[in-house]
Amino acid sequence: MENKILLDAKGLTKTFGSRTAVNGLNLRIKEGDIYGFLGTNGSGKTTTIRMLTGLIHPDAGEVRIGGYQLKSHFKDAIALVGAIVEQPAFYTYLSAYDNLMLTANLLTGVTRRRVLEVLEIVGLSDRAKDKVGSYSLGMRQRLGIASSLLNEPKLIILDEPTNGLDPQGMKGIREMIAQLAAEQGITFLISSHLLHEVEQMCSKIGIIRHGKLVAEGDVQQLLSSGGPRTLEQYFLDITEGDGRS
Amino acid sequence: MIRLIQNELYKTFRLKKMYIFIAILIIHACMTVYFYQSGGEWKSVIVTPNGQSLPLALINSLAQFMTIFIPVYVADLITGDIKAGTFKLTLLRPVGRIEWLNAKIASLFVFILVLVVLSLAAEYAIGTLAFGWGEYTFYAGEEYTGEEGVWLTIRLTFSMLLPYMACGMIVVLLAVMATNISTTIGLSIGILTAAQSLNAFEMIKPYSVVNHMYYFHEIVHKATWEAVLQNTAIIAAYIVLFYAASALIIKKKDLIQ
Repeated sequence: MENKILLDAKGLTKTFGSRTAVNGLNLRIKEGDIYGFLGTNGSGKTTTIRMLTGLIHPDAGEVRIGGYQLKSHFKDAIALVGAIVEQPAFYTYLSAYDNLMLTANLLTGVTRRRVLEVLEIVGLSDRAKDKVGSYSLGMRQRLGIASSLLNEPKLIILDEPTNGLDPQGMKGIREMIAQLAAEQGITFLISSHLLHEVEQMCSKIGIIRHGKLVAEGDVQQLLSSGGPRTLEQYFLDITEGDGRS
Repeated sequence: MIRLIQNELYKTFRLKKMYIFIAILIIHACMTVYFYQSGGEWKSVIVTPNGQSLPLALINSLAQFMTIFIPVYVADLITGDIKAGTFKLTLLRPVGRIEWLNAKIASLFVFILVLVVLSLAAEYAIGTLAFGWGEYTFYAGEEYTGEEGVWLTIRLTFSMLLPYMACGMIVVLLAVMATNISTTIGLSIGILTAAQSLNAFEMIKPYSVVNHMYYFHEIVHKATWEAVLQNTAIIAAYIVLFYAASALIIKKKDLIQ
C-alpha cells in the first residue's frame, strides 16, 4: 500500500529584494520517509524550511502538513511537527529540564514524565538539571531533538542537525534518527550539505539549486542511474552541471 | 494563552534584571532619605518627613527610572527573544504570533506592576524606619489623615500604571521592528527622553504620553472626572494604536533569525 503524503508543498516562492531565494519549489514527503534535503550554501534550503514551518511567509505557493493548510490551519498543521531550524536556541540561564518544561507547557497532554522520557531518549538525563549555557553544541543539538520529540510528532524537520559536531557527535545524531524512524515511525526531513551523512541516513533525497528542486528520488535508484556513483559525485553532477543527471 | 503568560512570567522572575531594578529603587529611596537627614532638606523632594508621605514624595522619580527599566526589559523580552532565536521554542508550536505578542505584553504589565507595588512597599518601610509613620500624609500642599493618605497614595500610584503601559507599548513597537537589543534600548530611551522637551509646548503637552508618565497622578488627584476621563482616553489611544501597529508588524514579519 502506498504511504500517505505527510508534507506537501506546492509552488513555494520567496524573494528577498531582487534575489529569488526559492522559486516555485514543490516538495512531497510521504509517511516513513527519511528525506535528505540537499543543496549548497545559499541554495534556499533554510528559506524553504522556514516557509514549511511558518517562520517566513511565502510570496506564492502553499504548504500542507497532514492535510492541513499551514496558512489557514497553522495550529493543526504545526501540531504534527517537531522542528529545529538552524541552531537550536534555548534559554541559557535555565536548565535543560526547565527549557523542556516551558515547551511542554504549551502542548496539550505533554507531562513531566514525557519530558524525562525524551531526555532519556537523547541521553541527557544526567545533565538535565544543568543550565543549557554550560552545554556543548552537540548537547544542544540533542536537546533540540528532545524538544522536537515532546509532542510525539509525525514529522521532524531538522535543519543542518550535524553542523559543527565532531565525528562522534555526528554518529550519535545519525544513530538517534535511524532509531527514532525505525522504532517510532517518525518521518524526517533533514537539510544538510554533508553528503556522506545524508547518504548514510536518508531513504530519499531532493536537491535544491538556485531555489529550485533539480533532482528528487530514492537514494539508491538515483545513485545507480547512469552507472554506480557516490552521492557526492551525483550531487556535483547536478549542482555544477546543467541540472540534469 | 494563560500557559504562554505563565512561561513568560517564569522567565521574567528567573532573570536577575528584575531584582537589580528593585534593588535600584530601594537604594534610591534610601539615598533620598539619607540626604534629607544629613542636612540636604533644602534641595530634597521630601517636604514632610514621615513614612506615610514618602511614597507620594517619590512618585515622580519612579517615572525617571521607568524610562530606562521598561526599554531594558522589553528589549530583552522581545528583540532578545527574536535575536537569540528562542522565539522558535514558542512559534514552532501551536501558538499564534498574536498570542505570543499578547503574552509578552501581559508579562510587561506584570513587570511594571511588580516594580510599582514593591517600590511603594519599600518606600513606606524605609520612610517609617527613618522618620516614623507620622501624624498625617502631606501631598501637594494638603494634609490627609493616615487612612485618607494611604488610599490617596494607592490611587495615585496605581493610576500611573496606565501611562507606564502606554510608554511600554511604544517600546514594544520599537522592539518588534528592531533587529538588535541595543537599538531597541537606545532608540526607546532616546525617544522617551527627547519627548520630554515636548512639554515646553502647551498645545502638545496634554497629548504627550511622556508628560502623562510624569504628571498623570496630578490630573487624577486634582482634575474633574471629565478631565480624568479625557486624559485616560488619550493614554488608552496610545496603547491601542501602538498595540495595533506592533501586532500588524509581528504578523507580517519574516522571522529569519
